Amino acid sequence: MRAIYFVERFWPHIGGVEVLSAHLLPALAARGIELTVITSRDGDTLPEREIVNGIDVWRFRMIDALRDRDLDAIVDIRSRITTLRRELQPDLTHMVFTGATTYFALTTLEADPTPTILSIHGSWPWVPDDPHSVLQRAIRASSWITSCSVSALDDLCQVEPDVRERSSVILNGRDPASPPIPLVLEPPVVLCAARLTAEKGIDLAVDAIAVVRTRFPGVRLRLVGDGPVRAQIEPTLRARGLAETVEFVGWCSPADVATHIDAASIVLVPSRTEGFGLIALEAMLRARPVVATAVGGLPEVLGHDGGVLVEPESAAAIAEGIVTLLDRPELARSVALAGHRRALDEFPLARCVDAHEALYHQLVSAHA
Amino acid sequence: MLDDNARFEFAGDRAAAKVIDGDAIIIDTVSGRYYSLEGPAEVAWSLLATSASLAEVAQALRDRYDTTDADVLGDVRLLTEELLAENLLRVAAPGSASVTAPPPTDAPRAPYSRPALVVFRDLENMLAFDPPLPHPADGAAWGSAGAGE
Repeated sequence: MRAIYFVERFWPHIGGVEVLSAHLLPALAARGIELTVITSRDGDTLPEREIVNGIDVWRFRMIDALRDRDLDAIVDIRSRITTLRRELQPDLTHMVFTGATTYFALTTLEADPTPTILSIHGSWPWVPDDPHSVLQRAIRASSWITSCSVSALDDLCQVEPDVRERSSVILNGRDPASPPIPLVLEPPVVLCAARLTAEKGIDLAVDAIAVVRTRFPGVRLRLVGDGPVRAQIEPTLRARGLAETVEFVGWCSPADVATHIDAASIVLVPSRTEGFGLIALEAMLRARPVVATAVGGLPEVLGHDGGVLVEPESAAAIAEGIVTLLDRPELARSVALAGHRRALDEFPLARCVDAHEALYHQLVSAHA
Repeated sequence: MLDDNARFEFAGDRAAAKVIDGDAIIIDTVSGRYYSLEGPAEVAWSLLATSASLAEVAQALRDRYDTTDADVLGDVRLLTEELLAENLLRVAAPGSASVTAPPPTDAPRAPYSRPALVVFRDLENMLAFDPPLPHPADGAAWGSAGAGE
């Protein structure tokens, strides 16, 4: 079987979808699915084409072309993608909805009319209730829709109820590469690893840590990642007396993220929206207690005992969740172990790969 | 209601357009909206944008497509109203010359479908929501991504 996997950004970019794709695609390729990735190469020096782990990766300057409203570039990219699709003659197209570049997938679909899967990772702060939105057009153009959580699918069905009949939930999956190391609670380090954008709730984390510090003066909030919110928060820290408490690490590689998780006493996910919350799963795999807002897919990831769920949009509730764990080390260790067990039992990568493989075959067979 | 003999012109001061493989791609450079017109819509667009009247556009579609039972003139009128509402066309000055539609060919007429304007309204919002990201995993072995590895 030959499939095109259309995703806005791909390895070595990082993020939930990017990291998931970097694990999922080699596993599907190992099962005999011939995959070609079509993705963006904007603002970087990545090659236009490379073959990695047997997967053909094509990168086009899609975001630059759209951002610059460069009609010549858009026409050129569409033409080249159309040619590529005609040459490849895929059995299936898998679109991952992660951004504006889905425009290019939609406007080149007719080059090879195949079954089309749309995967929703639900990290959007809105679900546009507009038939002319890219998301709704992608829904109408797709044979099947997958969602990374029940919550994300429910959000989608509120806008497009008929999605229910041609959709399924495929939970993200990850495997641990090594056993977790013992949890260290002193000095207390709270880790947030995310793009520093408004929907990730980093401002709430900072507000919460100011409260936690009144009980645990040595606490540190370590922020891994970068984004526009940093420029809003960082200049205010000294005046708030938090300059020594909040640490901006910036972007780092996935391997370094793992090191930061290992060094954390608590992993905090203070998001305002979250399709799944892969960082929570990664923390559970490393046996670190998670405090997360009860939004989107996070309650499904943590379950009833795999972490501490707190009220969204509330720095006080986040602070209370952190203090509860720091106050009771035995509880923190118990939550960490329960989360670890849950991650291993409920979110193995093989389950995610099995579901994708079965869906690919089902749709291609039905189409034939 | 638009007059059958009304003529229009492309609002080239605020939009850019190109035709590729039978698909007209239009960008409103002011609003950031993207548009697409395919098949009969592309034919209609190309004629409307060069000052053909509604009646002339409808006749051109009848010449190229199998339009047996269709209200082609009504369809062209609706499409034109949409294009005007989106500020992609404007009423042409009186006396504007029209580019004559190419004569019909002997080729069999293609199936007709109502010419539709496809609008992508929220690309700008999505681009604004999605700030550029670095690729800090560059140089790391692919497949060894993520926590714990």
